[in-house]
Amino acid sequence: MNNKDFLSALARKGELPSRVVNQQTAALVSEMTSALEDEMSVSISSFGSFEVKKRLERVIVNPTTGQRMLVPPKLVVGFKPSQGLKSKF
Amino acid sequence: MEQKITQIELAARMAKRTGFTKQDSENFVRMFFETIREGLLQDKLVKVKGLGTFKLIEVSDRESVNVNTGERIRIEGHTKVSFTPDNALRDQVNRPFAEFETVVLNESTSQQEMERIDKPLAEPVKEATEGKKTEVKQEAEKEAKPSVEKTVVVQPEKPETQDVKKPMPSKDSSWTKRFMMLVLLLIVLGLCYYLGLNHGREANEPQPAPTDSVEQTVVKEPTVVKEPTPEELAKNYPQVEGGDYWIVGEIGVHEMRAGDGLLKISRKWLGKSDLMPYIVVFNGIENPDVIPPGAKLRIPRLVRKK
Repeated sequence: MNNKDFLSALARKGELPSRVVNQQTAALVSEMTSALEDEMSVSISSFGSFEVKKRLERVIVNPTTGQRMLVPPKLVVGFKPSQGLKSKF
Repeated sequence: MEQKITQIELAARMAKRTGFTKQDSENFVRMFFETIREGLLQDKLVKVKGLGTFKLIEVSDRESVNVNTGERIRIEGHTKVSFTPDNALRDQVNRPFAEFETVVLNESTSQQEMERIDKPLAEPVKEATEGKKTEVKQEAEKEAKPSVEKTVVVQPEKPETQDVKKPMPSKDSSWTKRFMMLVLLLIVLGLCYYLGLNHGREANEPQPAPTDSVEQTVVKEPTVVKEPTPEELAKNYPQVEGGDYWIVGEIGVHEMRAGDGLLKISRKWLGKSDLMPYIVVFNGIENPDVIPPGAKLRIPRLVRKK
């Protein structure tokens, strides 16, 4: 299910015009992004929570050349499904 | 990650942005995630632009061991929900660290790193022995010459300078004294450095290091340099013809257990499984496919040919 299918399914479900759906979705996504950017976790009941975690820097070795590389630290978004969501599948 | 925002708070923020009522926004958020769940049930995959991809992943049954009782347990297969953030979201979140890039570590950086790691190892040994020595020296000196002179300058962190200065005649003028002291100080420092170097080397040598072979050679090179070259050392050992490494010594002994293979041992001790031929040659193994459990294999120390 790609983005287009998703938006039309959402419009059908909520009986909303697609313009409203697009607008609301954009707002939701950008608010979630800015919340995560501030390192706040976003928890949605009966779905799960999104949170930002720090991955530490590490050294990796290319096994064929033996070359060593330092991978920098990064912040990644993780998702943890709630119990309710897990039991649905 | 102290703070947490809920869907109600999220809806309130959205409402502020879009101008819809809070109620509408809350309903929308709920519907949004319900639709994702339904989409997952239907297609096992939902892509949302700007947010990311949700996917259902089947996990099959597997066996595991209960860590408390040691008994074998079976973990039932289940379905996992995975989430991969969209590139836009990923970059946005990672912005504080965005300027960092993967750096290739060349020989020199790794050497510096190794030295940094080595120092804390070598230092305490050096200091401990040094401290003991000076104490002994001091005591001996005290017994021999109970009170030769009073020291001019007090240097609590360097008791050696005082010791060595003692046999010096105290009638000298203060200038020559100072000069002599300086010279002595330099000599003592040189001695310290030399001793420290030796201790460092001694402390380095017996370490069994079954780690990465690349690191291994890097660590050894600076210490081995002044000693015989790898080529000279290599004459004492059987060599792999056409190989990239010299065998210059032994780093340890591995006792074969059931389930051990040469590739596995090579990976464990030398960092790469394809260095296995060096173990075969070093031990003069005739049939590498059959090595009885309990057999002891010597693991070669390898230095890359130049």
